[in-house]
Amino acid sequence: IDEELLGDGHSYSPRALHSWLTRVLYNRRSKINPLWNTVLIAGVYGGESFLGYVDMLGVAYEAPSLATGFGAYLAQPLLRAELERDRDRDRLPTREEARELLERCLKVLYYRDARSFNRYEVATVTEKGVELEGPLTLEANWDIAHVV
Amino acid sequence: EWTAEPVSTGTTIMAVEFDGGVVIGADSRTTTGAYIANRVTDKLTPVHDRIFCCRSGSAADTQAVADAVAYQLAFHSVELEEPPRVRTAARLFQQSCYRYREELSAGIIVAGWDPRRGGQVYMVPMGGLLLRQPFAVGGSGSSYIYGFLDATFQPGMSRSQCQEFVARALALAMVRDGSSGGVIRLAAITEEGVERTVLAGSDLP
Repeated sequence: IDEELLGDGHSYSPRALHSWLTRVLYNRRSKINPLWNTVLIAGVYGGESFLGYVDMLGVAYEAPSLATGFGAYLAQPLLRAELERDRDRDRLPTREEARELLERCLKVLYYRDARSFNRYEVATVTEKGVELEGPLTLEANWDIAHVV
Repeated sequence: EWTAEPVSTGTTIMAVEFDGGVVIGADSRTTTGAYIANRVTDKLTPVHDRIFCCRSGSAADTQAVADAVAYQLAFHSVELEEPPRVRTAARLFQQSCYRYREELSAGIIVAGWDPRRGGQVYMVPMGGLLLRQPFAVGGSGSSYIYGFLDATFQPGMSRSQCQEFVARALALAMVRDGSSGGVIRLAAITEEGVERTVLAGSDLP
């Protein structure tokens, strides 16, 4: 995805990018030659935040929380529980709460996904742009090893 | 898909002889496919007071065989009226693993101390071969550390040198092998007894 910076003031909106990606991935899959990827798009455009998912089958959707791979099984319930609890009180998590939630999910995934590693990066997307932090290391708790 | 995959002690296991006993070590991860069913598994199983086995391969198979051998050894020890030899334990493992080689998926390292020959390490890999070695490694993670082991092993290491050697080797394997991970469980078996330790998180070399 290379944007030709023509300096004409135009750039892709997250929604447009998501739509384009969906078309590309779905058509490749339909030719039985998929791009073997799962992509999450997170963006802010016109004051609205956008979160979209596309995978190698061309399955695409938007949701308040997204996860791929093992995350779909382990992290998504955690994310949704938190978001639902906040939605019942008509609020969204704060940036810090969201960040902390993410790290909790990453920790669980490190514990339970055999193909994971304890290093990660975090990108926060706001109107002002993208802030990339990392690489950071997850702290794991192994106290239960002594109970066995 | 996880229901189709057997529960496997993916694993890295290791045992080293030293003058006066053996040091054994293992990771603590059990997987069903890519899901970690148990992240604090104990793969160092006693089959007698001073004889342990390190289990790799199918969790069910190795547990079943280890239980059977532990029973046989207990019986044999009573008949003998003395502690059983490590070689006997290894031979019992080998007999089960070879006889049922087509059905089993078990890679085992038997290690311990007996009054006759001191510390000994025997490997009984899949197929049912029995081989005594100064040190042995097994499990899926072992492939990643052969280079390190060949370059670093010295005969005649002390107990603490062996413990450090095992811990470093296991840590390296655990980083690279997806089926190995968690904490490092170590045990030192000598005439005095068995001393177990756990290395976790920041303690890992």
